[in-house]
Amino acid sequence: MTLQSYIHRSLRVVTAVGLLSLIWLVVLPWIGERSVVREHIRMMEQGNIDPSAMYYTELAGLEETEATFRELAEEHPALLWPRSLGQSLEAGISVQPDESEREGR
Amino acid sequence: MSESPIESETIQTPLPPAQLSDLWKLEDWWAVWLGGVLLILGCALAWSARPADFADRVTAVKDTSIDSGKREGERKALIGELSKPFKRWEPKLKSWTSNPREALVGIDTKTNSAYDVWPSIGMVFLTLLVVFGFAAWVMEERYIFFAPAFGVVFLLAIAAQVLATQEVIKNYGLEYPLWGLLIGLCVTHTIGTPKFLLPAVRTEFYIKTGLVLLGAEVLLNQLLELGLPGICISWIVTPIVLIGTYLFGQYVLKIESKTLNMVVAADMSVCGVSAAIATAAACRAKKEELSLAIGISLAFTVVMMVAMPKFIEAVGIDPLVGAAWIGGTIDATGAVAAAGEMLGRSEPDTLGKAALKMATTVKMIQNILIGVIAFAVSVYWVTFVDRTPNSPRVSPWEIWYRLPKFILGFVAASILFSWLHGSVPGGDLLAESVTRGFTKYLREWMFCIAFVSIGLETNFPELMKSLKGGKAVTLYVLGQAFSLILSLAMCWLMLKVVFPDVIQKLSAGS
Repeated sequence: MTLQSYIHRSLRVVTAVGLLSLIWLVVLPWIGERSVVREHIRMMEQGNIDPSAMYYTELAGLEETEATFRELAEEHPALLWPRSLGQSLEAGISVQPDESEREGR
Repeated sequence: MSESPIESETIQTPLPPAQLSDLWKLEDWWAVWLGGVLLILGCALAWSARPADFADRVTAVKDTSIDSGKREGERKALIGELSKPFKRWEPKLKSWTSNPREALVGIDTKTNSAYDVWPSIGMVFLTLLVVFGFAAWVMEERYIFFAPAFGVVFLLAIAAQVLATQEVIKNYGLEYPLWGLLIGLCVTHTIGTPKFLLPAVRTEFYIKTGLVLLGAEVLLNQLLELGLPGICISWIVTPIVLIGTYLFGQYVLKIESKTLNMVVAADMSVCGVSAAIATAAACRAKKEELSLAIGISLAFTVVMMVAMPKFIEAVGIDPLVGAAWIGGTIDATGAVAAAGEMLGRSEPDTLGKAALKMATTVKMIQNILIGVIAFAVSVYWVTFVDRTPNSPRVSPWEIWYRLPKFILGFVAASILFSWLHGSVPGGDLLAESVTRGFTKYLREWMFCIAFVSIGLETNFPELMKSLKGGKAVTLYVLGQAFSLILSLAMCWLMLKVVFPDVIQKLSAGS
């Protein structure tokens, strides 16, 4: 490697590291202090939400969501299916669906 | 190992004629073996940690005569016990504001306790070094060269994860693949990728093995979680949008690269980055095309995540219809949860929570489509796209022979874990503790290393070539517009016309 190419490479490394440092250590923290962004971050942290989750298994609080729909299916088996299929589902489980639901259908 | 990864331009390289030795010489098969071994190891560890009264407690969890709150508490406790052996593999980096060190070491302000994620990062590193190193050694890579190279690539992946956890980046859903790519590109375009790193730059291998692990998270029985409305919103609209967008790209926009067209269509219509990775591997897309699709998707996801809740509120769409619409259209899963939370904040407490649950559940059901889409795309590709126009009809044997074999591991993991989750008493607890407490983290790091590797192999001008003419962006925008219209119509039809009781029950906090 010649001295010139060594200097060029070194300059490129310094520029890249400098740019990354500037963005992540100065610009982004500054953006994070803006009221709209601050409020968004606060809301996400309070709700225990991870907006960077790639797949559903990475979401925190998913268990509660799954539990809600499990309970809903147990209490009202006919709720999420067409009437005929729902009736056979109702007949197939031990828990009786409430009367108002049957009347509504 | 047959070829240098740096020479390969695709996510999935074409297979040489089938031989028995393929089973231990090809990355595709190794991805299946390694994924399988890690899943079996996970199950064995979780099973060994089960309490003595496991069977009785599982029966109690399923007993509908017991209060549902108690059962859920017991369920959570059991999963916690089964997950105990995995505590050492949970390198969850913390969010940081201006000091990157806080991502790894510091004091948690919520719990006021000290944390240090280095030991768990070390466990993940050792696990991956052993499994990939062993496979590389069998595939005739010298371990003495692989191990140090892998160490450096893993360090770059840590840097990418640290960049991804900066609070603004993290809370606007800009996922780690983007930063893995950036770190890799920085190395390539400053000092150039050093030759000693090449033995560990194995993008396809990491992606395929990660996908086999992801297969275990594709639980087909979860598809019924939201009944018929969920199936219609996620499983009818999504394939229509995917196929419609692909055909539009081929016949109207005349996009030259079919693989770019397919990856953008899948990324936009299914679930963002994870779908893009799976589809790119299934159709042998170029790495630059995968990077481009992910970049476009993440940029639009940030906009949609902020704009959609505001639009729904401004127009006065029913919050639960709007939440299902968000779940069906925003690409990234995390961004769906964020938008659901934003939408929910403007509503009364119960309705707000229901909106978040509706959005994430629709997305979850859509997530499961990854398995079907990846399999269908790989079969379609070997049957119709890869054959020459004048060649005779491709035989089933030829399809089997040319099918990327890691897809078999992906599908098998999905079927086995779905069966475990849905049919074996206590299997759901075992499957959830293994995938959510163990393999999820390994898969995350595999993908992160893969994107660092893509950066280390990518020439930036080449990446920009894929963007030439802006056709990929046009395809994304028009496909997303189609998806928005069709999804809203289906959400309204399902939740307002066919199953209006769902909204009523959820709003009441059922």
